[in-house]
Amino acid sequence: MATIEKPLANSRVVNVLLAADDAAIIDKVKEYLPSQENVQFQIHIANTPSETLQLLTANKVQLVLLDLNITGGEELSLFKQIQDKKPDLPLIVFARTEQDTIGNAAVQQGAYDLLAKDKLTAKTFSRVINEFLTQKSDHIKDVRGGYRLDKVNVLLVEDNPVDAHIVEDCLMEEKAPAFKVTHVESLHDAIDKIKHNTYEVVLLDLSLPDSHSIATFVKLHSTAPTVATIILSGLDDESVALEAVRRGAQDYLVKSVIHGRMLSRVIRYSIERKESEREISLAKEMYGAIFENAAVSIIVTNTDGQIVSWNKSTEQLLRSSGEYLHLSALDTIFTKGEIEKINLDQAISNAEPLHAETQITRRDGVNMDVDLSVSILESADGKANGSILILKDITERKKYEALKDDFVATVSHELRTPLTMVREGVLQVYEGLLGRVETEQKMVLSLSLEAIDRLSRIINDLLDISKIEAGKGQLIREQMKMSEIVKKAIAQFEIKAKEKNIELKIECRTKEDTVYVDGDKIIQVLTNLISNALKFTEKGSIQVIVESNNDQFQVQVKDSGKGISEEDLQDVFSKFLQFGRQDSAGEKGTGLGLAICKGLVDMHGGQIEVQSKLGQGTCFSFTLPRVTSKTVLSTYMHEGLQKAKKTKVSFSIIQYCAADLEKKLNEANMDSFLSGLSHAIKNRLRRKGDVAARIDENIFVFLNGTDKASAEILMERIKACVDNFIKSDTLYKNMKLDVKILSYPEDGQSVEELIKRFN
Amino acid sequence: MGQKILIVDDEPGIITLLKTRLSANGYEVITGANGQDALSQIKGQHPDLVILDVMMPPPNGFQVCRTVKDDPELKNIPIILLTAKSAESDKFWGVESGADAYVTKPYNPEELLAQVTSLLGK
Repeated sequence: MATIEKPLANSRVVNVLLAADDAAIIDKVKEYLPSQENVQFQIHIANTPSETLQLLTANKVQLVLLDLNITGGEELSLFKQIQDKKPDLPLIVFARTEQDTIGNAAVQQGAYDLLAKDKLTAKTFSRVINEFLTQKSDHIKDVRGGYRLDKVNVLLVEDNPVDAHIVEDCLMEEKAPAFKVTHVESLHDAIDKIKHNTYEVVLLDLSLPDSHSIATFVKLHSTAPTVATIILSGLDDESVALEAVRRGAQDYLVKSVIHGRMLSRVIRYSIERKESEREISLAKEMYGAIFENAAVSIIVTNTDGQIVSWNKSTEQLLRSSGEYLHLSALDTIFTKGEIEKINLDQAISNAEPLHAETQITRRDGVNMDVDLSVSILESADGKANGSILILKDITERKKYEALKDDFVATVSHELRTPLTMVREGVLQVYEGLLGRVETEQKMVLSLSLEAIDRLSRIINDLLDISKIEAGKGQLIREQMKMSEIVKKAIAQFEIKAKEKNIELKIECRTKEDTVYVDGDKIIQVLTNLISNALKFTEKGSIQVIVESNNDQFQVQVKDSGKGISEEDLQDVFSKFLQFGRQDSAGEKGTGLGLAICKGLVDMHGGQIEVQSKLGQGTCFSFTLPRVTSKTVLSTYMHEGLQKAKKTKVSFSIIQYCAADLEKKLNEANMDSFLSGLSHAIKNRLRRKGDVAARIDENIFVFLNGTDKASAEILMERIKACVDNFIKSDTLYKNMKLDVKILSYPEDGQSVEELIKRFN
Repeated sequence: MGQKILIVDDEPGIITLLKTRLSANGYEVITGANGQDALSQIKGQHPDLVILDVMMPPPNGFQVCRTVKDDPELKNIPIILLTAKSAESDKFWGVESGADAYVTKPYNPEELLAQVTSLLGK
């Protein structure tokens, strides 16, 4: 019988089979066994001989405790059956007394030890078990994942009787392990034997009557690929033996130098090697199956971004088969519409991790939303060998999200009209427009008005956040002064701060504070932050600090208020979370303010964070990356052109250039001239989506879907208000602006072509 | 009696509220429910100012406004258009209605009153 047991994967559990029907013995074993240190015992109890034999094969039993008096198994009958079935399994027997003849007979016939039932104590029991555990350390090693080699079945395939004899002689002398050799003389017989018996190792001569050279090995190996094979070679055909080793044989021996210990050792090592080979291939197979069957698309690229491996889900997701995928660049299997924004190529070539939700266009032209993550394929020495991309199709989810966003936006919008009417009605009664109102009535009405105002703040915030989350918020960047933005934001709170006796300070630590941002949105961020600060500050000051470096601006709103606990700090930017509202007086918040702030700062490509300690005030700070006028202009142009090309419409731009005025006006006057002009022009734009923005010495008006003729009509309409504005201040008198209209497609097909033609 | 303001809207609730508000501020208020009504009232009553909703049974606010501004006898009457920001302004893009001011719905009463006051030069 085969004696190699499967390794018990790193288990520290010893499986014990207890064959007994005496309740007293069963109870004692159950009580005594668990007290052993370091080893856990898994006890399987069999009450009858047949159950014993059944459990013997069903479980990986490593030790049998057998009550010799078990009903139906008397006079060593069960003992012998167990030995027949598992000759190598250690047995400890229970007998009536130490002198019990049957018990002693069992020990003589190979039982490991005897326990006398009349004197069974915890002490004797653990002595015997401990002895077993230490002496049979082999078995314990088995338990922890070693291999047991007590008896090795060898198939010797050798047609030369002399050589065969030498080998058999060598092996006969070996006791640990013992070898059982089966000798055949032809490949045909060898294959026949191997098909019907179990061998741990084959010793194979390659030159046989019915087969020669490497073919002998190949044929045998294909019949029994899992059996360790050692080639017996002569001095003259070592090279063929080597070839066999390359093809999967474990080792080779030159017949003339064989001797006992060496042969035994080579066989044992070969079996072990074969076993670990098998384990590795099993593990490989398993990880391969995990990769192949994963429900997400997994793509592996090399450092050049070429696809080197992919799984089934990838082929399904991208509707691409192997021939297209193998060694392709990523952009040949899907085009990156929106993906450009997330710098996928850069992540792969720089071996940087990345996670984003984005859109791709498949080879068959279908657009899909995907959740994409890139991780680095690292070798053991930490070097990047490529990237692992995981793609999940989230098109369905995005569809539902869009429906939700739409729903929220529509509902919020529809709510606003009736709410305005409710407010106006209550206000008219409250103000006494419809007759005298008693003080108590007035009080109730004022509560209603407060609630209505809160409701309309919630609706406005909901609209804002749903726009931000849907990615529909339009960012209108134009040239502004950061200090001016802060001044505007802070001006709204001057009265309130005075009432609470709190000092409001602006500290501008940067000289050059020209920024390209969406002023309204940054004011909204600051308004939220300052109003929060004011709400939670009872005394002291609120400071707004503006700083900058080469890459970005940083704005801090710092208060000396009550602070936020560490626990709450993690969630401050989450939706519908409000802190400290129970003990704060005044306006109730909506729980959306900071989520909106985060969304607006994100839109600008900046980051917002908070630092605070209970009782020591709070500091919210956000960054705004520096953007150049060139980038801003080309972004507007790019977006407009893209939309126009996609929907096959025109796109026009009106440029009001004040460059010539620079000589006549100083910088401050120039700024106020341009911001005034921009304001006047914006007031004449009545269509959603039309944008006027100051960029350098220009005001640009971007008109989506507008042809040159319509743009000229609009320019005429704007002209009156521009003229009025210029006339409004004696400083600007007699000044003339250069005005130009450029339109796609007639004036240029690309951003570069159009930009070249501006003044 | 104060200056005369014509309010035209097809929603009676809005008319009632606007009328109360403007009357309380000393204006005389007359009302109309649709574009046709608006034109005949303007011609017959010569109000000092008109507040016009854009979305009305035809002629809509833009068209009424255009007609008034093209009439040499009426063109000096200031007109405030009440517009919803989204669809309408897109739809009537390019139509030069000639209105004197626009107020976006839902409007707040202070904003509307401020426009009225400034247009009437009070």
